[in-house]
Amino acid sequence: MKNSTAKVVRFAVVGAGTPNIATNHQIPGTVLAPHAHVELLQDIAPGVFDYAKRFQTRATQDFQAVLSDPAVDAVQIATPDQFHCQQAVAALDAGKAVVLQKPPCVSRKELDGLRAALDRHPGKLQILLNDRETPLVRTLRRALDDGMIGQLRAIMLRYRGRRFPVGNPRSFYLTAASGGVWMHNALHYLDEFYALSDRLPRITQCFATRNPNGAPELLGEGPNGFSCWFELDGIPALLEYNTMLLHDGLPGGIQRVLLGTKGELRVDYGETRIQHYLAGRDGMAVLPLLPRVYADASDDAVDSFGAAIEKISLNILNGKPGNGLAALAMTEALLAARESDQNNQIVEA
Amino acid sequence: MKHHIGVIGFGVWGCHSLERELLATGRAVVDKMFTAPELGDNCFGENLAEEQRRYAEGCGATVVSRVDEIFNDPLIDIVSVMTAPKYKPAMLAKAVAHQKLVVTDKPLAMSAAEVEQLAAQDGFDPNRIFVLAGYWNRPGVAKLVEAVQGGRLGRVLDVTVRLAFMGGVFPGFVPTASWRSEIPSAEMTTIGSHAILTARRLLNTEITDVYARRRNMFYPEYQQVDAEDWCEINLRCASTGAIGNIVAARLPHRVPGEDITVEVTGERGYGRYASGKLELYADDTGNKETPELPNFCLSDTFNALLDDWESKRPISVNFNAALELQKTLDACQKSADVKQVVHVEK
Ligand SMILES: NC(=O)c1ccc[n+]([C@@H]2O[C@H](COP(=O)([O-])OP(=O)(O)OC[C@H]3O[C@@H](n4cnc5c(N)ncnc54)[C@H](O)[C@@H]3O)[C@@H](O)[C@H]2O)c1
Repeated sequence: MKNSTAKVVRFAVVGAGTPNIATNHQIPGTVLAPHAHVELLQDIAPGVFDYAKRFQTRATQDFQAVLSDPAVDAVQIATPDQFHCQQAVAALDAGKAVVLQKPPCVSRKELDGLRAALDRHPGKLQILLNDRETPLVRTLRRALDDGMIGQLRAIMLRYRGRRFPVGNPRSFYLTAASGGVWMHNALHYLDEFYALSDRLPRITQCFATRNPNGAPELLGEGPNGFSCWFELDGIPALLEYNTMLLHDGLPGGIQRVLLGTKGELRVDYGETRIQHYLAGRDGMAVLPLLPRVYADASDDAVDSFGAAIEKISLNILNGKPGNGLAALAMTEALLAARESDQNNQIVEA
Repeated sequence: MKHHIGVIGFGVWGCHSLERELLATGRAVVDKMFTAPELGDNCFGENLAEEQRRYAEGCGATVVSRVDEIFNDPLIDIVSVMTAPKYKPAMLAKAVAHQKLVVTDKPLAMSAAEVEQLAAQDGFDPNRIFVLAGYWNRPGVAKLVEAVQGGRLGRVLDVTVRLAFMGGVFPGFVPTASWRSEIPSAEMTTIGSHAILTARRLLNTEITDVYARRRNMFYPEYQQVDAEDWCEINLRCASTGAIGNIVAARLPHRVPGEDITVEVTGERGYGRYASGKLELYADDTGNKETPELPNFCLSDTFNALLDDWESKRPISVNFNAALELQKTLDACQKSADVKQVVHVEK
């Protein structure tokens, strides 16, 4: 619940004019976060005015108006991926703190641009990575902290299924330049590795492939299957991102495995049940999930966005840098994975 | 037809002696046994001579003092070579030269180059060597292999294998420096070979590139002798574009009911074998099949071997398959040494 006397960050949310991640989850999450306030919405779509009514705030279709609005402390950017970098750089240069949806960028060139902007405005960029705030990932982290598998030794995350369908055949997301489903989504999983291990990837080795046997809205250009090992300072982390199950009826889901010196935590495909195996103990125990952060969150996604935005807001209020540099390092590792596959070599960061 | 077995190398890898499985078929007897310290380090601290005497007595065999007594015995048609890899090529060469059928464990030698020397022997017959390697004979894996080979998953694109020996260090086993010097690598070889060969069957084509790491994750006694207890492998098959990954390790804990776990993704479907259950989505229909699986029985593999051998059919994991495995292992070793992607030698 908001404390009306507490200092809050006044956010503009960019990309808030259609039913999408911003309007369905991010803004409701921001509303829940005690140190965040929705000051202004922006979108090129006129629907932004309807959302302003719904969230009892102001709206504009003009991005420049966001940047020059003195009542806006920070800008949440939730537009499609290809606009992230340029809008973030513009907002940083306008003196705003920036909260950017993943992926922060889709190419090395953009990454360089973001890094340069962050150099000009140290600590002002944070990337909105909410997966680490879900009850599942928080519970896994808690179990690690409680020593339930001893010291963490390896992480494996396997995704199987298909990508989100992209209806518009001319969508940026179907082009090779977008980096495909890998650049669009995989940062979440690298950030999970980071959330669980406190370590960033230093070495990346990836092989990729492609299942071409699917409907155009599920395919796009480039590979759709990735087997990628990241070296997290001595901890191997496997990200198998298999979006090649393209036929109706094939199963989907994520399997997470954490191996430690004393045991294993495992969440199997399509489950949220955490299995716990311990050396010297027979059988399996099930770990109860931690509750949501906000009792009044409508779902886990809204809850996780609320938790992420609250932490981001506190960083802004306290002048702390947040995850900007780390998230850019992880983005570099994703770009490195593509290069590793193409050049048949490891890539070191 | 009764087969007669000569056993070479009791106790070195005594924990999984192949002749026992041959005996279980009821189609073979053990005639002679031979062992010597120079066939491999004794890591179980047993009194080998005494153990061997008792074991031989149990199966009605005689302990012989010279290995040639096995090779020169015309009644013996099968030789079980259970020496450390370092000493194996010499024994394999002799056995093959004496026209025996060899049953052995993986790997055949310390390197593919040594294995290739064997093949250069006059009149060498690759179908004379059976290598127990891979989990392709698990009924669930066998069904998956069948689906792949029958084209039911289409072109295979991705194979993943997790194989762990669980419950800590094998009871009684003490890793030693000399044991380590007699094997190409530790669990990358012991467990990894099974995983690689299984992946290879499912990929249905040669593995051309690997990236591998060996690690010490769990046991100081392994670390002390530079023997890894974990390996991870990434792989690619240039001919089909398929990729895959393998985790092979000796884990401290146990996951009840878990054996090997494999997943296969093809252009036309997906299959997963885990915890003894197979889920198969084949033929581009999206329909799930969960076939009933018979219990796994290792002696079935040996029955099939004897059937193949008696009717002169190619045997399931023969010398050529083992040579390819060894080349893949070599590439994995090299990759782990140089920490880079390595091409598998043709
Ligand atoms: N963290 C998560 O879990 C999560 C989930 C989904 C999407 N996302 C990310 O959020 C972003 C948005 O995804 P989405 O699915 O909501 O996309 P969307 O296309 O549904 O919505 C984007 C919105 O941006 C608007 N827009 C487009 N160009 C604009 C511009 N130049 N200026 C202002 N507004 C513009 C569109 O009108 C639309 O309302 C993506 O980058 C995606 O990667 C994150």
